[in-house]
Amino acid sequence: MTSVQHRTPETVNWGPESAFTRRPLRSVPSRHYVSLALTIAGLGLGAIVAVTLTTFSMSGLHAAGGWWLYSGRLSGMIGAYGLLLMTVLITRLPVLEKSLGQDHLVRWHRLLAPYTYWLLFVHVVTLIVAYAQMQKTGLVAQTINFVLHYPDMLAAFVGFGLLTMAAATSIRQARRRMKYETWWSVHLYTYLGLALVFFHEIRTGVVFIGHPLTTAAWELAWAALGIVVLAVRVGLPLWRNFRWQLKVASVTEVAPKTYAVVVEGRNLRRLAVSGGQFFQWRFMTKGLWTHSHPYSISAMPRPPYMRLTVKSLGDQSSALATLQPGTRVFAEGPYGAFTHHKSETKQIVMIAAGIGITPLRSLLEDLPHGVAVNFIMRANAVEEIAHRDEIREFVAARAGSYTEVIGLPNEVPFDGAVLTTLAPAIASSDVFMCGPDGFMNFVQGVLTALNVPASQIHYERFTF
Amino acid sequence: MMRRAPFVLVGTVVGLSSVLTFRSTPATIHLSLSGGAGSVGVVSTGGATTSTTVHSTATSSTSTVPTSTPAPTTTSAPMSNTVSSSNGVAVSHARCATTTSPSVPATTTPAPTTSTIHSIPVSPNGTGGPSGVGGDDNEGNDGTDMSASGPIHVKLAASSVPSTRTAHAVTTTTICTAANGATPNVAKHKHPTTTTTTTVHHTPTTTVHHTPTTTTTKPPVTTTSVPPTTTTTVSATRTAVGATYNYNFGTMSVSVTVNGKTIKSVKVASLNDFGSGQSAYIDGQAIPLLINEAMAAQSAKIASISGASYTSAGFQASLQSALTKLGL
Repeated sequence: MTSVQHRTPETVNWGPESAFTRRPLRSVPSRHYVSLALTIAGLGLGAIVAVTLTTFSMSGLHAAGGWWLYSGRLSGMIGAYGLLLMTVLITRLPVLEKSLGQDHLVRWHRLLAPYTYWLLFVHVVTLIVAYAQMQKTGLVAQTINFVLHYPDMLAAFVGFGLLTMAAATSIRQARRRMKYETWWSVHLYTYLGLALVFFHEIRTGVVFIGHPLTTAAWELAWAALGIVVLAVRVGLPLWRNFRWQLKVASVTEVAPKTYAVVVEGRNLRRLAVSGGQFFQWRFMTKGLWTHSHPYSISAMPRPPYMRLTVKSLGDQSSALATLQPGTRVFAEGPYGAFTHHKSETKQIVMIAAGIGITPLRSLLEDLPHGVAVNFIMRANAVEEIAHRDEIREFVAARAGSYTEVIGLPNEVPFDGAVLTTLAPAIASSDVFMCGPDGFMNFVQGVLTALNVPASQIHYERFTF
Repeated sequence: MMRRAPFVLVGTVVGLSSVLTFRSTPATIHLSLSGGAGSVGVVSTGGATTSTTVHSTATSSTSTVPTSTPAPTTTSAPMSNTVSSSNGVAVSHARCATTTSPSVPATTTPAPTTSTIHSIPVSPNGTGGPSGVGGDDNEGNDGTDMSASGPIHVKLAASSVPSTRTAHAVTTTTICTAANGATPNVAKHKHPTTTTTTTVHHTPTTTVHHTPTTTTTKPPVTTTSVPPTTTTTVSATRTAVGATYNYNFGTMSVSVTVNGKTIKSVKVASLNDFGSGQSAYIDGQAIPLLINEAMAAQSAKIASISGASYTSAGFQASLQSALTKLGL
């Protein structure tokens, strides 16, 4: 116990000398897991296409509605598989989350979303047309026929409606205009939608009828996924927070409009967290409890304390300034793969801008011995830099340098020339950066121009 | 992500090919429902390895009266091309199930001519003729034309031939493999004559048909006394109703009665066509055939009926579950 000298949150020493070292180390799965997961995803896709293809025949194709029927079947099956993958991606399944990081997973989820939705849309439309042609009725009559006479088809239509709502509210323009809570609750209904559409798949799907093995595999996949969602998204956070009993200990303004929130809890000694990771924080006070926000830890925990640093950028983060000590906190996490485990070399360049300092601050503290660090801080003014003294102390405690590039962007450039001057060996280093989106996109371009391999560039985005 | 795209690709290819290899392809069967209404009954199995044309050229069918009729009962096809041109004609082939149902008092036949019946009625819209191209999935495709079209030659009595038809000798239902869906309906009937030459050609695209005979002569009769030899060891008659299956156009359950290991009868225990008359019509056409097939095969491993492949799937599934219940 090197760090039990502090008793109140105000007297906690967050510097290098008080680091709590007896915490459990976070296990990081091999990066081959990602390749394995992708291969499994591919296997599933191939299998889905194949089981659908076995229901096709040339004569069926040439019959009335044949093309429509087969297009509808194939799009429905692939679309359903897309839903499965999208759900897997947002389960925050620990093995995937640790390998890829939640921001990557969510990005893939959003990447798949439009394809999946439009496949399902095509599925609905083409099958109505196909059956209408086969039965020689109109589209409306056929739709009514489906709803009235086909098992579970009414539920499927309702489920598709729910998925459509989630898709519509997730379109960028629409999402920007609505409250996060609205979007979130609509999105929550997709679980209901998934359940509703599931039954028509196995009870009317040609692919499944008379194929008990295929049906069993499909049911098993979704049942397992349902259990994982409940366990990881509901059970695990509830259990952890029951153990942690987190509450606000203190709130301090460490830079203009930037607040360090110290949280106190139990059993934090057993918390396996890495520098650079974040939690989804939910402050249980009026106006804040409905909404969880991703904030990085700005220091390694000093049990019973943890610290996050938040810049008041609008909506709720300004309300954080008024948080009263004792406020209950519900935290989901730790999440994120923006940790030192990602580094491939022994030379690390850290580039921070604005509030992007927070994950880099804890990452710096968590770096293993023997790694040289080159910390570059980009800010408009020195006063804006949060935890400036701590960072200097941590850099001083190991081999490395700390540089500040201060000034407005149009006055003081931050380009390839500056970077090569400050970090001459940048091409053979790992670069960890965090800052506003525009800044990161710009620096990423610069780094690529400087021949830094993509596998050595690591970043974390908060805007997902 | 892009770096890892090959993993997805490899996975997809492996998944696709392995499933395509190992998943049983559903039987593609052709029940010609368009055009010739009566031509229901050309059944083929999905594998479509060979197709058989059975030209029952009863060339020298003089008035030779058959002496005795051994009246073979429902025979399931052996795994070879069998041409048994005795009285109870059983022309079969690997993958062909031949149901030979002797009419009860049996066997007469003067029938000097080969009573070949081409069941090629012309449907009202003029498109009749040799059809048989049935969409594998198009239950009810063009079904609206059917009721109005020509005579139905196939009397689809489920498992037994009505005993009233004492006149003719044998009704042969040949269920045969066809290489593709195109199956002209060559329906031929052969009388049980002793001098019949029956040739079996292997050519693609044809199938055989069963038609009831129309002979009415009553020559000196030799009544068969050979009983249908069922070599059953266990003789408890048991009945089980299979699970109700939804086959997309309705729900169905099948009940089966067995004596020992022999399927004695197969019946439809429940049938709900979701209120569709067309579906009911197709079921009415297909189910008797399916029952015949099941009786012939003595199992649920039967070919689907084209144009009624959903019905067939439901029938097979329910029959299988009934048989499973009976421990068969």
